[in-house]
Amino acid sequence: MTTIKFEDVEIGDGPEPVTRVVTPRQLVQYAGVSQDYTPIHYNTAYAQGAGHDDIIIHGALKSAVLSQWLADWAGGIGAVKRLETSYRGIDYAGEVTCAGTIMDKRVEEGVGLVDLDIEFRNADGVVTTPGKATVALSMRGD
Amino acid sequence: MGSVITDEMRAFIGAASKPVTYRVSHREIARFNAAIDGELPPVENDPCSDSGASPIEANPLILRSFITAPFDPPFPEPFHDILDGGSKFNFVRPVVAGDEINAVRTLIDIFEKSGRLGPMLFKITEVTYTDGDGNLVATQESTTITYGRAPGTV
Repeated sequence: MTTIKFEDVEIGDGPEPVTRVVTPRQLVQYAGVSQDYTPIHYNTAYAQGAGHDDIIIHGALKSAVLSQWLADWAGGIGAVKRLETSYRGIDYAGEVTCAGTIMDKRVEEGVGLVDLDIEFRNADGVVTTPGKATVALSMRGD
Repeated sequence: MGSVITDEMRAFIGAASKPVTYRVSHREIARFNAAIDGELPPVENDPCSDSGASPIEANPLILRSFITAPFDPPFPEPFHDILDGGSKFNFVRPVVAGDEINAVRTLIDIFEKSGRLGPMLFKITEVTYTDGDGNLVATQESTTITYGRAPGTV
């Protein structure tokens, strides 16, 4: 696996967007491991009673998917230093996309950091979860 | 319609929950990471934390599974239905197998808005996660939105 280097990225760059499918099984799985048993994530009738069209993706699962996507790009989970997400839209199980752009880069105490604007899009391309992240990238000579 | 926020609710601003301690296992991390990837958890031996193997690192959002204690006395919640409005995490280090994580939640602010789902109460809280040595592992500021039906009606 090639690890991206801090010196090789510029403002305006970013990780390759990744599209994946979040399934109802994954929502059940995530409910179990996160202990978020709110029924709007696995019970369709309950979700509709709460004003939604169908079961919805956990907000924290969206954050977790975004953080894993950033970690895969940066070369490790420990690289993700800051993650902000705002759940402005509802996502139903199905196709979703992670994307982002580097907005700033700097070196602090010998660590190469990049600030990104990130987003989580639904199958229609609508940004339902904008956010910001700070990620540490390895530097040449590390 | 009047405000849903009462003086009793405002009195909770600054209140902190009692600490809850979690001991993190290899298996728990493996199951969490698999859920994020949408894969089934691996079937494998669960190595002891003192086996000498490199400890598995958790997806940082595993912190959300370390549920904080409810406020005591409980917050006078006016609504049953709940949504997650978003979070701001600062991660000091990854959570690894063998960690002891202490979680404490503090209510920072409350406010209200009205939207498609009717009147909504917003609660801003901060959770601090520390390890067994008292060192900070991460902080999380989160927005929780409640709305809709009254508690006990569903």
